[in-house]
Amino acid sequence: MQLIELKGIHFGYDTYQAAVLDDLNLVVNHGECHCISGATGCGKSSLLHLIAGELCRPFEGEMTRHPALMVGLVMQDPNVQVLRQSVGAEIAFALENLGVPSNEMLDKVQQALRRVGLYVSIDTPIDVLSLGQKYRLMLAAQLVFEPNLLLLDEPWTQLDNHGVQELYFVLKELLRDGVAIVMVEHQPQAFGQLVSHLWQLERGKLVAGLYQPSRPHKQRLATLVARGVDATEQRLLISPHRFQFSADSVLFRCTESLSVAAGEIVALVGDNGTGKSSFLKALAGMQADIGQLPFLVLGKRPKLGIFGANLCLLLQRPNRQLFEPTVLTEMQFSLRRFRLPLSRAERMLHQLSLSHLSMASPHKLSYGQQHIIALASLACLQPKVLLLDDPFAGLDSLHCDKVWQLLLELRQRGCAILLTSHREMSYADVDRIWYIESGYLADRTAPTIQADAG
Amino acid sequence: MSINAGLIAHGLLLKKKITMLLRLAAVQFITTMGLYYLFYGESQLLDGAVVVLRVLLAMLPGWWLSSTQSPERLAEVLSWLLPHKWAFVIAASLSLLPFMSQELKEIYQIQCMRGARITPKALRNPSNWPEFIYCVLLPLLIQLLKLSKQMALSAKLRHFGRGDHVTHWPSTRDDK
Amino acid sequence: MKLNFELQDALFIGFCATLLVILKSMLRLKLGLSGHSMFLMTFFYLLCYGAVGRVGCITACGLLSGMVAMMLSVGKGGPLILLKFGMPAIAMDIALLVIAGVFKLRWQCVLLALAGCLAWASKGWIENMLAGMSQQIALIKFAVNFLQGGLFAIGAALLVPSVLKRLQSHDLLQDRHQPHE
Repeated sequence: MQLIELKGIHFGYDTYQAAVLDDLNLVVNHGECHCISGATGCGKSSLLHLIAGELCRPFEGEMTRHPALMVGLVMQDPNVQVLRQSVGAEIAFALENLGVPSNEMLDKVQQALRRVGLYVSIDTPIDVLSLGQKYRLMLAAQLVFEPNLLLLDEPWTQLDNHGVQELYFVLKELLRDGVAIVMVEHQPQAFGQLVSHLWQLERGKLVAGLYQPSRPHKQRLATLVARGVDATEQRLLISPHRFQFSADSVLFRCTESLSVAAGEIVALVGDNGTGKSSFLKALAGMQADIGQLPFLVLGKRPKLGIFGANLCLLLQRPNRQLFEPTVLTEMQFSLRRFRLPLSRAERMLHQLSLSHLSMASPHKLSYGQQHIIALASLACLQPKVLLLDDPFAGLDSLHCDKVWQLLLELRQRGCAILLTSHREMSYADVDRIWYIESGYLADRTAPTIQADAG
Repeated sequence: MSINAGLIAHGLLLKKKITMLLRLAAVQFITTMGLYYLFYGESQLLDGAVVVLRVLLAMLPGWWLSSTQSPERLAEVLSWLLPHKWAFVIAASLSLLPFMSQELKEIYQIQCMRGARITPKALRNPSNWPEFIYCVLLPLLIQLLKLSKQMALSAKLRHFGRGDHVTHWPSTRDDK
Repeated sequence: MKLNFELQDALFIGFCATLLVILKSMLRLKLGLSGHSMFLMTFFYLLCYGAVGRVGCITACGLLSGMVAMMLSVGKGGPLILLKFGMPAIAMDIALLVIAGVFKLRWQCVLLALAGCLAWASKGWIENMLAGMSQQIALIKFAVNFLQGGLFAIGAALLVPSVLKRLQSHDLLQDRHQPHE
């Protein structure tokens, strides 16, 4: 059964800009799984919104929809789609709007929960769920009205490996039931044989194949030596402790002393929800309800605001810290406040070959560019310690490389860097790796590997 | 009068805090009595006291309602009175409240670390208030603008506002 | 509230109202001055007007703030708080009907702020008169409130146009109705 056919679709945001979609054709049948890849900002999300019939602007071309077509769309970030406070009410939202009688809701909601493999009570508050669980909750909120076409926007970037695995099995079941899936994804290999059609969106058209950005050769860590840096200077010292919020159970224990020295990059790896972000915030002295922990940052107990330009922290979704009218003034903001030379901002932009953006509004940039600008505005302070919360989340490989370029540059200047990640890191990229696993924080860098890397 | 006494008794019985109300009463009392004394002298002070008492009595029912009834119940009652769309807007805003205060706190801290002049000490000087508005409120407003678009889309994708007939999820069930 | 707003505009108004209530409850403890609430109120009401750009949105924002505050039991006096937030908003909307398009955005904001402040101070005045306070004293209280509140309100009104300008320069208000410049 043919669900939807797109023929010669033209669509653009501005009349004077190049069209986002240009003569695009796509046919989706019952039980098929289409995967669309493409460079960031090439119009993939617009395409999904178009199929869902909720595009905010008019388009040209022909769209033929089967009369029985029912579309469900799960957007990239599950957090921005939550409309209610409890699991049951969230899933029932669509049923309410479709006028399904109240007494039939309970069954349908529980069925949808089982379908996505989420075994929680329907009265569970949504904010206690992990990101992966929230994603499946949003999936259930779509499945409850039995769509026959499901649209997914980049599930891989948001989920940890565990979450991707869970999603895989749900999608497999759905395809077996004859639901068609269209997903936008850079990592189709994560969904293996499920994908029946692989597309790349190029200059507004869909062509068969996978989009592979050209990767510039990455400088490896081993080849770089920090200049004039006293590598014995311990910038971060963490003594054994239990990490827990005052009223809650222990998040994780740390039984050994850990440290980060000048000119070192350390990665902290753990699944979503293990307490990585709170740990970084505690190191910066801005986590509430955590009590006194045996941390020493630059020889002092961490407290908000006492380190000035020496300690920098980049939290997740760094675009929320941007507020100035242009990229250049954004970069200069902290330099001005800390009375450092303003020329560093221009030099930094030049170094990153982003000078052409200096007069642009930071909020008109792509997510990846905003990310780089936020990081660069910290990097030009040349801090002694830099803390980064999941700096690679949601970035394509091009922007990941820019982040690495900045980090290596800082490392060479002797900056001590601690970054977290919800995915495995490679020893070729960082000096050491700490893990939060089954309730313990530990440095599992094997001595031999350390010798190789050093 | 007797109704009010009953309300106070009921409220106090439920161990609700009345200090807030008392503090307010004290401020009202001092300013009004002061003015009465200045303008009319001692003879009219009693009149002034009666006025203050009346103002306070008028506020009592509100105090009783807000301190003894749970917010959820008020919301439920309101949602029957309001059009569906606005009831949804209120529910969505309330559920976003923890996110907003968390976000406000985090952005404030981030900008503090970036050197913004918004520490509690700096904010005592009103000339730093615009900095607070630009560094903290503006980014938050930008996020809220984007969020309102995305939530509206998410609601529409789940058929919000399509049908005339809307049913309600049974949030309080017997089988719990 | 019969006006038909786009869902996203309605949500934004709701979020502004909630943020107003959060900030108000945070600042309440710090500042003893009466009238500082006019700063936040004016700021958010005018912002809503600037972002949504329709008559009626200030009233909507005011009534929503009142309801949110009531549900969170911020402030004293339960349902009365609805009036406290609502009255200045309604006054501003009525003023807007008269002056829309006549002045530049900056002066519009200042005039609206004064209208809101007038309503806010009048509310206290009417309350006091109803309670039987002597006219003279009620009038003095009214004047003091109006002056204090007006100062804060004008301060906020002067900030709003530049905030709106920044939002516009980021293309965030592009598909919304523009206020009269």
